[in-house]
Amino acid sequence: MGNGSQANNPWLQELPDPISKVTWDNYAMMGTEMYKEMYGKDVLKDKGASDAYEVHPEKPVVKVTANGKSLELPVLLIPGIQKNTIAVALGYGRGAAGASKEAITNNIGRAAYGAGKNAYPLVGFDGTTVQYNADVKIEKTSSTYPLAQTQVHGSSENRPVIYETNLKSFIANPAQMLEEVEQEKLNITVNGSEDFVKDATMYPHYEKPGIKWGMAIDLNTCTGCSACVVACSAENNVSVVGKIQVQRAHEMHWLRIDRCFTGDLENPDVVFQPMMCQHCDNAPCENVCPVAATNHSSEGLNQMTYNRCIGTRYCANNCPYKVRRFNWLDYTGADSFKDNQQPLIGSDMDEVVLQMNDDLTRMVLNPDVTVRSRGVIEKCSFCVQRLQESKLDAKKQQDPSLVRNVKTACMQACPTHAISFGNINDTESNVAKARSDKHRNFYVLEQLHVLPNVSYLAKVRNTDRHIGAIEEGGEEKKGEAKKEEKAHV
Amino acid sequence: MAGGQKKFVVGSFDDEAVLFPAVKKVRKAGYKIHDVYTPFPVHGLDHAMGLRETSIHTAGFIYAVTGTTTAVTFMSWVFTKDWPLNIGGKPHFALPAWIPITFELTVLFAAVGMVLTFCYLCNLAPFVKKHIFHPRATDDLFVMAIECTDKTNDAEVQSFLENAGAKEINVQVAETGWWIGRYDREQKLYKEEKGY
Amino acid sequence: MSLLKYESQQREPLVDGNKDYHQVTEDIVRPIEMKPSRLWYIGFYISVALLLFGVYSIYREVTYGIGQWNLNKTIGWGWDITNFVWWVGIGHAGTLISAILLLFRQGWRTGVNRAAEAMTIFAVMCAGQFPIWHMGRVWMAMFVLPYPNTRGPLWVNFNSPLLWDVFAISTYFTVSLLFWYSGLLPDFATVRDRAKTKFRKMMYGVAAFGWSGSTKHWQRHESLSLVLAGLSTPLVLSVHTIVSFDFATSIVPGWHTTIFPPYFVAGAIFSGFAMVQTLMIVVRKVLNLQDYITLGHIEAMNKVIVLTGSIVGCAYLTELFIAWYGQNQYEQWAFFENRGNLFSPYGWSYYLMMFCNVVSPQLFWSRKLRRNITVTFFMSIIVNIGMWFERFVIIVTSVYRDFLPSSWSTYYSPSIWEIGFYLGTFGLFFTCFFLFGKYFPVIAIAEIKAVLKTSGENYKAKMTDIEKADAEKFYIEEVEHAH
Repeated sequence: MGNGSQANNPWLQELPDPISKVTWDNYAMMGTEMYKEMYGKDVLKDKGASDAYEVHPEKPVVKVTANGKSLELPVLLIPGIQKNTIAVALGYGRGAAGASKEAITNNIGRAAYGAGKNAYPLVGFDGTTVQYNADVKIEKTSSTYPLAQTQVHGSSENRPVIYETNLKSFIANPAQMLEEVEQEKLNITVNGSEDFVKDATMYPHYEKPGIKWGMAIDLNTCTGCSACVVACSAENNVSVVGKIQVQRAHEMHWLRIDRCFTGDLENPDVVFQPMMCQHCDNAPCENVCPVAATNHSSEGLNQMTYNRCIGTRYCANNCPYKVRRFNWLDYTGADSFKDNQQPLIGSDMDEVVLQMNDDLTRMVLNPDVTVRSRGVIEKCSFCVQRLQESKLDAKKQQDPSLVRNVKTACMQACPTHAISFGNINDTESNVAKARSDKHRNFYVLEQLHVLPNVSYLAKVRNTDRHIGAIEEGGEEKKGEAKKEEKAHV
Repeated sequence: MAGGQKKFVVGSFDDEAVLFPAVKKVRKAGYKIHDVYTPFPVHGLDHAMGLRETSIHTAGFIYAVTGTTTAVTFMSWVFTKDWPLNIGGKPHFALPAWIPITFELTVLFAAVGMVLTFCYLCNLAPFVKKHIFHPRATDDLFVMAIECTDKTNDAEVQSFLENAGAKEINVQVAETGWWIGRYDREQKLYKEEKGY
Repeated sequence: MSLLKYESQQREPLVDGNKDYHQVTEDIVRPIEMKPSRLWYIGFYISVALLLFGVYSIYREVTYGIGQWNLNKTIGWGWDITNFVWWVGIGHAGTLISAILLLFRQGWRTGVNRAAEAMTIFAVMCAGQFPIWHMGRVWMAMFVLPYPNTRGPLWVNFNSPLLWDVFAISTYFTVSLLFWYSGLLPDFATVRDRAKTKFRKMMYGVAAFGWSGSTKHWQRHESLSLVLAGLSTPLVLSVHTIVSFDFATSIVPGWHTTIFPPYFVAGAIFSGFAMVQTLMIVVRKVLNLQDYITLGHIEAMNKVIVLTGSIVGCAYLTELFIAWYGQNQYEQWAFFENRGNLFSPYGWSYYLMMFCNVVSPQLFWSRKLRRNITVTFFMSIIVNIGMWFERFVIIVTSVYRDFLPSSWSTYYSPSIWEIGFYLGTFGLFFTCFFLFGKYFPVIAIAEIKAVLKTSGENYKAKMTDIEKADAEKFYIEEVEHAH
């Protein structure tokens, strides 16, 4: 959003904040300790309270007063925020309430209008510089306000989803981090075999001799910037659904960044994990589809046939990664039922959906990718249109190594080269090289034996805090929209 | 369809305990029982009348086997021959996963086949009409119809039935088969209308 | 008197009062021939109103999308499939009564089997609505049928439990309908032959297929009923087994459980009998059929309820034990956090289910309560609330927090259109049931007549006199004769 100049970009509005996972709004971020002081609930210890907080999108509203101006904002709990700090993002709240339709269309922008509250009045100005920090008074109010979050739970609950370690212990014993999961894999492999892929199942093994597509994501270099998410939306015509729909967890993003708080929750670390369809070789989603709308290609892709899909959503239920997205409403205007967007505007759908469907905005659609209609499931395709193109290129030029040039949209957008993609049967490909890092390479929920084609490289931290050189404290991130306050509640 | 018209001596009984010995007597006397109409299945009456066992259950078995075979061969053909797909890494010939459908088709074929056979054998269908010898045959009377030939002496049969315990006795000339018609109308047969 | 079998005088009569064959016909057919009561009209119109609301709810959902419901990316199934399983389960009691009890020669089934089978058919009709209308593109629903087509041809996925459902539910509906209707033929003929009005004569004439009561036909009919019962028995077990496969063969923790088939079948019978109780208690009162649906019937069904309720209770405990014993962290989370933890968001639903399904039916160990109509009526409703929550617990509390905590869902509660759909199926069910009560013989007339002389109150009384007077003669005349 920046200073607000990007606020009218629906893709950015719908892109969840890397830490808070909130879309379409700004809010008052608050630490757990302060929340405890204000609301008397210790969410770190009282599970009931933290559950109750996370499962309801309606968050309590506080009145924030700074520099003589005040603003009512919903409270968003983020563990690790310093006790006396709340943080409010700028750049939201364009246009006064009740602006004319013309004003919204011409000046304010339909996406920006109504998203969040303008926090600029709270910013101090001493004549020469803008003061982002100020003394702030906050008060409880009796109202609540719904926030559209794409992820509500913060921890991985010690599941084999994310691995991290620090450099010191990694050097000391590199095998230690993945020891447990490796052992478990051996335990469920029968007949003393060590081949987890072939011998931990009663299914036959399908050979994929030519190309087998695979992806490797390095959690070390992923910064959670979410450029890949926007790139994916642009490449694959992923719908923007608006705040009301995101709040009901109907967002369509094929690729999401899972945020995981780790370590001491009073002062946690964050691991970002890009999560998209894992293209499992033994995909649980495929087995349950009654009409065979999703099945496996000989190149290891989990293919989704939109035309065949009747929308039972069984595949989405049975996906352990929950990456399948259902077209709950007519987000694209591509439906055969007429006039089924307009009546929902305001109650079920936001104006922005219409904006994304107007003639001009539709020109942003990628002609290589189907626009999905209402009632079908969709998901990451590994940018299959690009894969096909690269194969054609290689064929035309008679050079199989040319498929190495293929880039998925997310990979192309990643500023830190965290994502590598390619043919894993080709030992020279980047993805095969990444996977050869035996001590860091893991698959999410590998024990389920769904055989994902996306692997992750575990995070190895090398900050002073983790290798124990420096005592904690003093290191506080200063965001652009951060306000300090003396806590008086 | 029409089985032709015949003359019947019809005796109605009001107790199955009287009916049984009556049936035996009538058969012993050499009369031909056309049928006995009862309001509910009277067990053993079929034996008493000398009817052979129905083999409708054998037909049911054949239909069931047909269902099983159809299901297994069709699914095997689709998944191994016609269009083999890799669905979730399962084998193409995934027999255990086909048990439910095989079973259901077995039952479906058997049930539908048997009911159709039953309707065919008993001439049952919507708009089928048959002669009713006594309207209370579906209420509380057991109605025995004795077929008369040219040689049969009606009066003799009537008194025979009376001795056997019948409460109501009469003589009817009736169509033996079935025809398309409605029960709210007295319809003449095509043949009669045309005056054949 | 008894030509067929000798029944112990210790047994309660199945038909009360001084009845002969004609009286049975009179009692059962009379409601069809009379104008319906004011109560009938009120009930019928309420049902139709509910049905229309349901139709509108479906219209909303089909025109605008499943987004009219409150399901989300994590909770793909909610009220829709809960209601589906609930209705299918209810249907099971009808088949159980008509088929399994026929095979076990339980004479008491005759009083209730017709209405219970009707209930089965209507419940399966209601159940079928959910898997159909919960599809995102219901206008493409024919894709689930393996018909030859021009796309390859592209066939269906025979490995999918949902496809098994398609076969199971449609077979179940067809077979139940055939079984029910073949039993109705003779009774329609009875109504036809008594009919005074032209219209009734015609309609029942058509409906009776020209049934005449011929001995040969009865012989085939008996054979057909027996085989259909034999087919329906494994069928009814298979249907809920297959419904449970929707969950059991998936990988979702809390669904992926091998105990589901027997536990679902027991639960189905449990809720089905409760529904039969609810309906029968009303029907016997409204249509004045207390002599045919006796306290003995109600008690017998309550015994089934306490038995199946306890089986279901055992299954719940087994699940918990296996979750602990299996040491699978996802399953443990599903059972001990999502369900077993009262303070977790959906904990309340698990405890409500436990109370309704396991604790409350234990009342029926007491004979006095089993024979109390008011208690039975309330219990039957509590049991069905409990069984609804069982399905809700299984479906929603499993998926809302499954493998990846990052996708854990917010709190799911239904939208007005989801509730409307559910109410609409109630409308459909009761509309059908009211029509059935008015136009169909609600008790199998022929079957009642067949047991009347062995099990009717007046005949049993006479039999006792004979037995007392001359035991030896009785034995020779009655018992010998029977064999």
